[in-house]
Amino acid sequence: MDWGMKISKEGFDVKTCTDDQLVFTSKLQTLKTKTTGTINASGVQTVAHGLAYKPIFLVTNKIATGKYSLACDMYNRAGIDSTNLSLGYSWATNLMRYYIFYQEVF
Amino acid sequence: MGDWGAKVTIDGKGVTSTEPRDYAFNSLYALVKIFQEGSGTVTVANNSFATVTIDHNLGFIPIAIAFCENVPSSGNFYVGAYASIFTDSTLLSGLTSMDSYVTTTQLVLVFYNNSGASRNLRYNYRIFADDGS
Repeated sequence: MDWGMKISKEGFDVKTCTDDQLVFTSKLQTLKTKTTGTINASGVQTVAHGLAYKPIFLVTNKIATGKYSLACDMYNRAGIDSTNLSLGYSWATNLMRYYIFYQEVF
Repeated sequence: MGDWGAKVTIDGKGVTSTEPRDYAFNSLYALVKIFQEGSGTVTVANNSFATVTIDHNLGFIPIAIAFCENVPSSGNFYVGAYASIFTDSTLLSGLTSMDSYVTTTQLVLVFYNNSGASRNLRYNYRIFADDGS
């Protein structure tokens, strides 16, 4: 059965446009935010996410005053398991923001 | 507060579901929104840096993800995060890399090429309308 909901970007015909020309389609999953927050502490910290699976996450970290980057270098790191998001700077205090989504990694 | 909002399920799921993963959209759960996206190519001479700045003017520090095809025409795009230690030429011998960071007004991409020859590097990026700081 062909049913659902689509919203196209301005200038594209919702009946014929490609998925990347859509703002929304119920055919595709989206990243829905479970929680977001910040840490500002030394060493690796854990944040309990309350989901019984490994959710997708994003983490940013402060690299200098007014400058932030994704936390995926060799010092600022983050990882997930079925209980916690672990994130932090290995040897010092650093400000980091995290997003935990409902969608699972795998 | 009353029970109100908008919900759209994915195929095969009912709108009475209490499982967030069953929804393509549910106004109970915030979505990450793409504010700006784009792509380009930058020529980086051997043993040199090049910087590309992209204005977003959001007025806050957003989340951003940038990808770079470190080896031209390879079709492999890598996420560039900021890792200042990788500007050490010893570690970068024979490599090309891209670092990225965001400010309240710009996404900044910093490319480094130590491959032995000039390279034309393709990149693309997404800036999200969500707080990254």
